[in-house]
Amino acid sequence: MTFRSLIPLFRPQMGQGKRQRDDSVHPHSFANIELSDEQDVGDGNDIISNLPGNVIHHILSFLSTKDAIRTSILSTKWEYLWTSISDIDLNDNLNDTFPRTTKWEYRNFLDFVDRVFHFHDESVIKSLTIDSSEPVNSSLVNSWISASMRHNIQELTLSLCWKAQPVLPCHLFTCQSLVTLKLFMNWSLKVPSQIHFSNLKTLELSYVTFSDDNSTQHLFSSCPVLQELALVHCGWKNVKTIMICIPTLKRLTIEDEAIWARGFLSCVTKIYAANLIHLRCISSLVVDFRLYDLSSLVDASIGLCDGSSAEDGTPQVLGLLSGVVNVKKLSITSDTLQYLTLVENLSDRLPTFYNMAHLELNLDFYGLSFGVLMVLLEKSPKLEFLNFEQGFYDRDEDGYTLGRVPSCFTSSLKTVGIAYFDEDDAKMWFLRFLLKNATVLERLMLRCYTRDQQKLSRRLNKLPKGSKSCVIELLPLLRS
Amino acid sequence: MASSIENNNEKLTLKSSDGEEFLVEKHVALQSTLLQNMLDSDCSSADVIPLPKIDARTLALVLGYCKKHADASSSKQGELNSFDSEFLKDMDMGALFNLVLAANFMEIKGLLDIAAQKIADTIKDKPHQEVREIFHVENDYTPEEEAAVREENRWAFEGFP
Repeated sequence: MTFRSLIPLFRPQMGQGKRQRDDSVHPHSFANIELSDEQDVGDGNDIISNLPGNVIHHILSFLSTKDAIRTSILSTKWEYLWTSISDIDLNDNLNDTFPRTTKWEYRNFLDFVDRVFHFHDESVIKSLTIDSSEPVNSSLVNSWISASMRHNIQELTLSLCWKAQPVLPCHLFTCQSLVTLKLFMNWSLKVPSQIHFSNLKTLELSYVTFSDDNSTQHLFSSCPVLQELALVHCGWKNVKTIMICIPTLKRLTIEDEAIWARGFLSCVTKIYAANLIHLRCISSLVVDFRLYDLSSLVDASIGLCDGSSAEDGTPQVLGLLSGVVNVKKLSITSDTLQYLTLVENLSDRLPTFYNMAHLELNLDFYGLSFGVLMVLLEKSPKLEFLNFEQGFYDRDEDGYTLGRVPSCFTSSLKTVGIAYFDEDDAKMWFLRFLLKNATVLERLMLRCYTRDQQKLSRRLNKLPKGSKSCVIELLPLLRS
Repeated sequence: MASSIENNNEKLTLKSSDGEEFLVEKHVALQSTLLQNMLDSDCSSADVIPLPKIDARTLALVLGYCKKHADASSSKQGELNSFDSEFLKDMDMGALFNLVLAANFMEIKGLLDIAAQKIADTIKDKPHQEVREIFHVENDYTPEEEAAVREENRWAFEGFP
């Protein structure tokens, strides 16, 4: 323990200034207008320290927690002014910008967090983030949670290494002020029998292991106004079948990579979200996510990892694609499409994306199967924009035998982008096919290394074009 | 402020601490919650409203801000944003503090926000020695006390001299 003391000699005086000012703020006659003591704002005077308390508080609210706490050293008057800040963001992560000169021991950080709660005045704590990799006792964390709830916490983010299985305070699960809850917790989530998040709009659970079907189902059924749900690398091994039915949900993020979980399709999670707008599903098919009733969906991003695994995930991929059939903008990975290469009569089994205007093929698009892509394009009759975000090269062994021309080529496809463009066989072959058959194409954007662009441009412009108005643009590669 | 359209022609007079009078359209004055509350009560807008702690130079700036925001339609948010960032540009600290005090007193939230933000931006990421210098804050800690405050709040001082 390195702190000089834990008990402040005096409580911060922020409130007083505010009260003084409030008395003069709502005058009902003009005679009442008065400011507090005359402020001399001439050169060389310490004006900032003499501002009304609420103005100092307002200025501090625009500072990071670190900057706000650092004002404590300006003068004795400033020592405790920071204790009224309503957004508290504490993390012990290494700072890349400033290499450490001294070894900052973990224990000091947890003590410091404790100290912040000890000193904070009576005002609201609107948001609290504690991010630490130091092993921490459950009771200490619970005391912080309880303290923040006494201050009407709205946004709580805890990313901590609990020493043992935590049992979070029961009243957290019925907290009325809570709008955002983000938990990064490498333990089981033990939930009480009483849960009612009456105002919770955002729930993010990372690395959390769900305990069993009933309690998990109970948790998701107790968020009547939830709009955003993120389940990132969660453990589903104790769950067999659950249903997540949240009509208010607008954004759903599922990330579920194989290294964090075991078993293939060992858990079925049925998702009903009639008002969902944004979906991101990056899955290794540990969980069989089944999507129902996503009639409001606007954009979806689907990435199923490792299509080469022994198990067959084809029905799940087809299921997910059917689930997002109403989507306007779809982003999909090559691995996902790979699951479909061996499907017989794919054209009959893939749904038609009647609303889809925008298709993005992303992540290492190394294994592009033209066959699957052509079927997907055929099933996208309104497609306007097609983008190969990471370029592609072909591994298909069927010698580029394309079937018929997708209907969107002649009716709607206006823009095509290809990144990492070079003149290899697959790309040139696809380009010839595209330029010849895409009769309404307006722009072809090729992002490439800037070698001999003029020469390339001349060669490309000589290719036969079905659309006379199509412009070919050679652009530099975007650095992400 | 759409609600003030019917009163568009009404004007009221504000008087600065140094005795200068400003004739202000009512819908411009309504940018100030203080003036709005006064007008909502029984006060007659025929009176001269004295603002004894706001000098003419500051009041002119404040009213310029209010006029721009009162006249701009809600669709021109982008234009207002660029007006706001230009408004405080190159302003000296003295004028900025006068403005933040006036905005606080007259309860003009938007102006209070941009002025407080501007002051915060001046503090941000700077070593405390520099902040003391800019704002003329006198360090009344003894060296021992200062070292103790720094040690107690060591987390916040990581990477700072």
